[in-house]
Amino acid sequence: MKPNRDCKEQTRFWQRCVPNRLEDITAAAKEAGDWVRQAGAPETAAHAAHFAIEELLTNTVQYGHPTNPSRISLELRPDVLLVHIEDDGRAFDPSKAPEPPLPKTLDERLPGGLGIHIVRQLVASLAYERRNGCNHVTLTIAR
Amino acid sequence: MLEIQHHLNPPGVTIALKGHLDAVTAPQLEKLLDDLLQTESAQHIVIDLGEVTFVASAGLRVFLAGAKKAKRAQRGLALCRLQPQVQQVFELAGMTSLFLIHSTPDESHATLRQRSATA
Repeated sequence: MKPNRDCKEQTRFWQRCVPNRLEDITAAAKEAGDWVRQAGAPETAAHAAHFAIEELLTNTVQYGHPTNPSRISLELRPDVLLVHIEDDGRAFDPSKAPEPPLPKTLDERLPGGLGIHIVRQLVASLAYERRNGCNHVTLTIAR
Repeated sequence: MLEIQHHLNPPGVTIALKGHLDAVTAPQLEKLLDDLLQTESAQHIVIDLGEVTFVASAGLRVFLAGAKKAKRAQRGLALCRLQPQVQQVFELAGMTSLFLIHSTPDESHATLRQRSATA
């Protein structure tokens, strides 16, 4: 039997509203990674989505003071995974966050500042837009 | 979800972690490390990450802070059995050169004993 190309190449979607609590964020980030994995994308894409959602939403809660739940949506295309994150916290463009210094000795190293640095290396691209009082971040992850 | 077990075998202790080290669970490890660093019988601390499939930056922060405190207290700290995705996060954070990282807990303990004997 010939493989069903249409079925194989269809785009799949997943979305969640996430209350601004660390417990809900870590659970939603894990759920997103699990969904990507179960949808047949490589482990690297599932891990990148999990890590990026955890880091960006944790950052939003700790520094952005959002009012309403944040929204995550995933779009798994045949060639890439798109992760869209929307929150109504303070304006913050993660693509413009300064790179943390990474000294090679323990004494010089300061804990913190690594999350967004790692996210930017895990994704193929990161786009930011401030629209209608909300931050919109779109990550493109190779699969 | 993170399960933490630790086995004291003076002068060493092995902390075995299972699950995810994230913004919610990382403080559990931080508290255990702080407690063990107050314990005389834990001169060598080995953290076994063989069953850890996810480490967020909150977890990296705990490892860095723990390593700094261990160094100040003149204790040895090593990590072992990093899974590929965890190893990758350590590499992207530029942290692999800051830690002793081994393939097995025994290797970590042997290295820490040797370093302690030659110090």
